[in-house]
Amino acid sequence: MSAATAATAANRLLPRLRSVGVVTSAAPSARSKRRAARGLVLWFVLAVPLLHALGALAVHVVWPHLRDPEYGRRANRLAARTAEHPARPLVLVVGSSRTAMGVNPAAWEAARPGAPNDPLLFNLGTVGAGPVQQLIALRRALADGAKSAVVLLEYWPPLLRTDGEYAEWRRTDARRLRDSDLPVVRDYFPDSGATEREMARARYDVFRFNCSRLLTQAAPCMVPKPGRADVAWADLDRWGWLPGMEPKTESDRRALVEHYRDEYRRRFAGHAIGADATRALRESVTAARAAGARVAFVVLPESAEFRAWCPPEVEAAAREHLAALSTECGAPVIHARDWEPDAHLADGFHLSRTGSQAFTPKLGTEVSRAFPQVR
Amino acid sequence: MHSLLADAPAHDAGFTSGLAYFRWLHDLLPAPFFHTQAFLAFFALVLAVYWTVPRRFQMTRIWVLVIASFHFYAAWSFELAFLVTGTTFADYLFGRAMGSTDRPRVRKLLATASVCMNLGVLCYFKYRGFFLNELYEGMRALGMDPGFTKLNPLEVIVPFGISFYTFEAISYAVDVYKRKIEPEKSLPRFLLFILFFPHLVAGPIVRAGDFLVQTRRPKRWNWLRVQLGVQLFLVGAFKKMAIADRMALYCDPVFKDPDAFGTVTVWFAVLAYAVRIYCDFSGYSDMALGAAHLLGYKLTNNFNMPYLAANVSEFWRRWHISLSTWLRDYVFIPLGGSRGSALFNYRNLLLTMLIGGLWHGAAWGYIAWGLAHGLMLVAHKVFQGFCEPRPRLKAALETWAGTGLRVFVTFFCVSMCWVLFQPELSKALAVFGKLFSIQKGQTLLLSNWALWATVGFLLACQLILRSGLWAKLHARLPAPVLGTGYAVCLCAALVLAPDAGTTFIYFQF
Repeated sequence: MSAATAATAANRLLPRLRSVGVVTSAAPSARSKRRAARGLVLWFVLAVPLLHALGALAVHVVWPHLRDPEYGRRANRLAARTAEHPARPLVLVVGSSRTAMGVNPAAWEAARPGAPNDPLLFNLGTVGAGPVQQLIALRRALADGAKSAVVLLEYWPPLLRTDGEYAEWRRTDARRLRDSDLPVVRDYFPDSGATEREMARARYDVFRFNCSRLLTQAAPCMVPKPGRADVAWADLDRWGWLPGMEPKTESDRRALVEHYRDEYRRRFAGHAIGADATRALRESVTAARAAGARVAFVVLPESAEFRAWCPPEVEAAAREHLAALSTECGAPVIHARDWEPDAHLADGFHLSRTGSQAFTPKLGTEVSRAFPQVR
Repeated sequence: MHSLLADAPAHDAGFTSGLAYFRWLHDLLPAPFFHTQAFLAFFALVLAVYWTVPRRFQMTRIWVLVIASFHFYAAWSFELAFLVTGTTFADYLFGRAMGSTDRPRVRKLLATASVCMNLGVLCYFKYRGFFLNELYEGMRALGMDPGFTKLNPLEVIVPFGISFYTFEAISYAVDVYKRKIEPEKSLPRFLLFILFFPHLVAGPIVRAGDFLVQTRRPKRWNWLRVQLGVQLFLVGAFKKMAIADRMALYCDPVFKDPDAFGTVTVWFAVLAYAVRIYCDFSGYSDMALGAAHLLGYKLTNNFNMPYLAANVSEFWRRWHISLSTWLRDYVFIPLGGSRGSALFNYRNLLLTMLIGGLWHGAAWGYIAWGLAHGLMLVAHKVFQGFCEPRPRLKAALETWAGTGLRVFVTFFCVSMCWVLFQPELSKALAVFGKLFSIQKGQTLLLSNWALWATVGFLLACQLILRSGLWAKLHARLPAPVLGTGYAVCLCAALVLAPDAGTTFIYFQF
């Protein structure tokens, strides 16, 4: 379009805008120009904090799920599923990405006996979550009104290490946290003040601090795929299950396993279960019990290769720790570690899509067996 | 690095290490970037103090700006802030000395001394590493022992904006020598001319004749000017955060490792880089102009929709206007300009653009970029001569379609030249290798739709501006609609800015 054509178009457009009252009819005088300029600047100065306040109200009060879509979308689906099946006892499975990808309640729905009181499995896994973030997710779900009959807590020794770089607070994104999470933050984060300051910044600098999450939800194509946050929630199914990796061939699977070998060897070297991790697991049990739920620990499947990476002393310590915790809390343990063949574990510790379909009906059956009285 | 309005990450120069005061200052204002919360806080403070000083204390206001500008630079590196202030003081003395004598030889000597001092500082910081390393390589290639070790270019600290304020000081010395302007008698006014923080680190290159006269005018709070300043600052911030930094996601990985990517991806990266460099630099310039307007000063407009230029010559009248006019006035015309034979004219064009390329950076890539632009200007002159006796061809090129074609060809050529605009010529050649031979490779994990949407948005904005529609609408839209609209634009820019923002490309020059 040339400048002349554009100018003609502009001249045609102006009377129309004027007729609908979008623009005023006459060019203003110098004095009214000054007045308009002052008005514009003052409106701008007022509008910026006002928009920030509205934004903060929107993402912190009205739609808090926008800041943490991974939890938020699960919470919405949980409410929908419980509304669909009000008579069935709800079984919340709380855990990490291993839970998120491994527990596929739709597979249980297809395979369950069909009794009206079959357990209603729901996946409340959180990618990257250790016991503290699991506690946060559970507390939120219970506070949101989830009436859970049983809570299954994932038990996985690698995530129970809390020293140095493995501390869970280091990988907790403050932008996802809510005010209701503050007790956990204050209790478990060594520098909770810094996290609270980050949370405050996410409130007053709402657009900048939450930009990647907001943009990922509004226009995912604008955000580069590597490191894009929506991998944790974009493909969630109706039951909170996150479809995992599905290696096409055995060599692909082995390559994935190899990819993680060094990382987990490092994690197992000098491994010790952190006191905070134990405390968080205990607190989860207490929170679930306080809401009237029964609790069990679940040890999810691992491949033989992955099990071989775990040194015997770490293995023994974890076994002892779990036994002690189970006895202390009076919570049974579902040992599913070797329930699935290696081919079902995409990278050695995450169940593949096929693996989750095979595993979840077994888990549902085991829950029914372990808690017959909740049926 | 965080983008706008988030705290700026420390741009660690490795300099600010001495006095506790300057270390504290560095923590408060870690980098002299306009699109940071730290700068906005600094600017708000300066604005408040500046306008609180009563109008009759004009010199106090100037001192406020001089001190603020010094602190703005010293927050990054106090040693270099003293260096810039020191050379500025020396330029002031040279100017005064030239004004105090009528003896042509003494005046010439003083002007030469001033120019040499400025060029010496520029060469020491900016070109020393390049020339020594090339000398080292050359001697090694000839089997000689250089007798010194090679410098690591990353360890050579180049003061921010050295090329900009050096050119300003040189133009002042030349103008005083040629008696185009009177030497400035007031030291604070002269310090402000060079150190004024909105233009200190990345231009626009101001002329003493334009700026010093403004320091004498009493400044009144003017809402029209404030509105213009806010508007320019916002437009600049939007260009930088929402467009330039977003385009960097498309071009940075490709330009870093062109061999890894396929031909189509590299073409997209070249397009993205053209958009990026324009929005990055013109965004910075807009912010600088806006900040200056808020303080009552008018800086030279640096850009005028350059990608709508119909030929390379016109492009240079629209792109980095303050540099192109500087080169015209202080290099091209003194070389002989357009006088004399065509060959002489071509030589002048090539030399001018070569210096322009070298001004951007001490690397073969920038030299090649300058040379390529020189060759394009020569080609344009030749083509003009070819069209002159062919009125039908000339008329065809003036039509709507012909103009569109010329704009496209100019944009294409300029975009190709941007490939050279990087320190490593080998990478530029690798990009060209990918562009002109179809090769498979990685693709970026980004939607091309977003790239096209950005290009379309930018083009639409420029056409709306050029058509005059925006000017007409702006004058008639009610203030609440405009004010809120600006605020919405700012919030949109904050959301659109990538988490990992980038620095300003032109800060390195």
